[in-house]
Amino acid sequence: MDVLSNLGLGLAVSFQPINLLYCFIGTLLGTVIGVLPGIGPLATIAMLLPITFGLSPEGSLIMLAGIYYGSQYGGSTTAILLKLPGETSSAVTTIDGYQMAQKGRGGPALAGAAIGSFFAGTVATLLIALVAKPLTLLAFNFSPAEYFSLMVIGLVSSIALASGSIIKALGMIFLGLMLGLTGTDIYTGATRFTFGITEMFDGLEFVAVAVGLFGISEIMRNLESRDGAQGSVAKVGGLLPTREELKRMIAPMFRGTAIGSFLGVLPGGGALLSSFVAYTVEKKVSPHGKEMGHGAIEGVVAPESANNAGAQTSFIPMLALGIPSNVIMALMIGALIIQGVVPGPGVINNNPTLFWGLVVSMWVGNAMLLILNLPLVGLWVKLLQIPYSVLFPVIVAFCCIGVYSVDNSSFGVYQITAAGLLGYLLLKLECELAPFILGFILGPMIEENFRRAMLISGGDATVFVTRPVSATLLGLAALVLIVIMLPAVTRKRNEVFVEET
Amino acid sequence: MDVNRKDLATGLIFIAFAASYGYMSLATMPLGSATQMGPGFFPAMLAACLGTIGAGVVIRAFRVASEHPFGTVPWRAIVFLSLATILFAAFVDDLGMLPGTFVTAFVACLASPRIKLWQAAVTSVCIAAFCSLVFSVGLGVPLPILGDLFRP
Repeated sequence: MDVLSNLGLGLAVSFQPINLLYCFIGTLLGTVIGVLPGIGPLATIAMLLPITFGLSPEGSLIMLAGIYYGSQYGGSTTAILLKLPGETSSAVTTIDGYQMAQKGRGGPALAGAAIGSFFAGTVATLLIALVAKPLTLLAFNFSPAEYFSLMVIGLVSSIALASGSIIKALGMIFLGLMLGLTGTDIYTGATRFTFGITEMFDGLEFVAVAVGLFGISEIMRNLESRDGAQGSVAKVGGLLPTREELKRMIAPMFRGTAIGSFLGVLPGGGALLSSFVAYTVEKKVSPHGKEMGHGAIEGVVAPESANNAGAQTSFIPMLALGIPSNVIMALMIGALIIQGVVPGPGVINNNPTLFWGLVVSMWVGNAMLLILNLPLVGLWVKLLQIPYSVLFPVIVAFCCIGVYSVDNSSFGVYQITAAGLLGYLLLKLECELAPFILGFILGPMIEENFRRAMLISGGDATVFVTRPVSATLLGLAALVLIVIMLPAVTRKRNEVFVEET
Repeated sequence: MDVNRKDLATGLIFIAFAASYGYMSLATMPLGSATQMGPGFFPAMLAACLGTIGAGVVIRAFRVASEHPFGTVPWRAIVFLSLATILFAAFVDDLGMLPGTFVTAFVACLASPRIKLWQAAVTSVCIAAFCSLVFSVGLGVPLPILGDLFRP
């Protein structure tokens, strides 16, 4: 079977010693930053992006992907033992996980999270292998009009995940799109918004903007508050779940995986949304739903399975269509471009080793995480004792060196400063940065497809609504926008984000 | 009446960007036609949308009150963190990796009032040594450990 031979190819690539090493480094780093509050996968990937230039395309993507799903694992450890979600996607895990740890069942909670995540990772890997190829075949029939509409959906959905005002998030998208257009216009060669600065003819440096927005401005925000007091670490105890706990884990594991796999594919979806929805659903349908909130293992297994499944299936639109469904995937697209790979439906056919190697490496990486996390839990907890005052200067130094090495010039580093200041100002004004960066990376792509579509149609703007697929996509985008504006949904969104913070 | 200053500021920022970028698109770039779009067409469209949204946010500022206070502004962090990155950009080519990273890390440390000077010095030396080893020696970032300034 086709899928089997492809998976075979993937196995061959991901088991090359050098790629195993990158996978290991990625998952290890991911776990570390997942445990440490204050640095997320976003900032880390942005910082390490330049370092991957020297690697093979497979190696670099395998490592960056490892950081992303590894951080989902690491985040759950601190959520359970410290009531401190290392990542936002583990926020709901704190509710039942910490309660279990208080009752001396921290070990089984960790084991449940790890086993659930591993199971979800396995299923999600298979799903990517099965779905990606047919999706690309579909995408080959896409004209520029469809691509334009697809990106509109991606942008609109990013608002769904943003907390706070919808109209401001919309504004952030347009701001991102506009700044993304900086540089030379590919059709006419005219330079735009460069203020005559030669270094800006190639556009603003994406890595610098991402690092400034998510690295530096985050540090500024963290330094606002002075309290650094930490809760006490709960005892881990024995890791092995009892037979009854094992039995209770199975159903939530399946439900969480299904929810996460589905929500991860949706534009705007991913790990965070998946874990919230999985927890809510579990509370409704589980026979032990009443116990949830007081230390039920279902409340740990379901969201943890879901966030890992979601983290992985969000690769599907990125790999198959070249459309990032969330900000991390936008960075992955950046990594692909840097490696000279053109993102889009061509990737599977033109770079089969990259695609299948990456897919299988996710499964390998999940197995590594299982081994890394359970026996070494004590070590990760120790990591938490690193004070933030040591951490943040390291982040600043890494950001500068990383961006400098993108093209060995210091101009990008100035852009970090500017992006950091702008990012902090916008954060203070309660504007979401995720829609901005998504707009920023999609800006040139969306313009290109818009112009091509208009060229093909002879200047007729109705092309976007007369082609059925494009019309459906735009209709969906409008629907998403309407749904999130409904008062009831707005209230629900606010509740969710209140819980998160 | 209470004005939501955060929304007001956001709206004005949006409008300012829209106005300046819109002006640049219209005044300095050819628009082209809908079929053959010039470089100014798409950005002008974006600017129009952003301007409208900005106006909407300004109107909202007078209708919906702010829920969260603005909070403190960590001037110290803002100044020193920005300075740290600017210093790196300005001097790393002359200083080289080791001294450049030291300066940046040290200035960054000053952003937190809780780090004493000697702690900042020790931390920065360690960071500089670590980064030089990892990036210059290990990963081959083409930035010499010591720059031209330290060479005869």
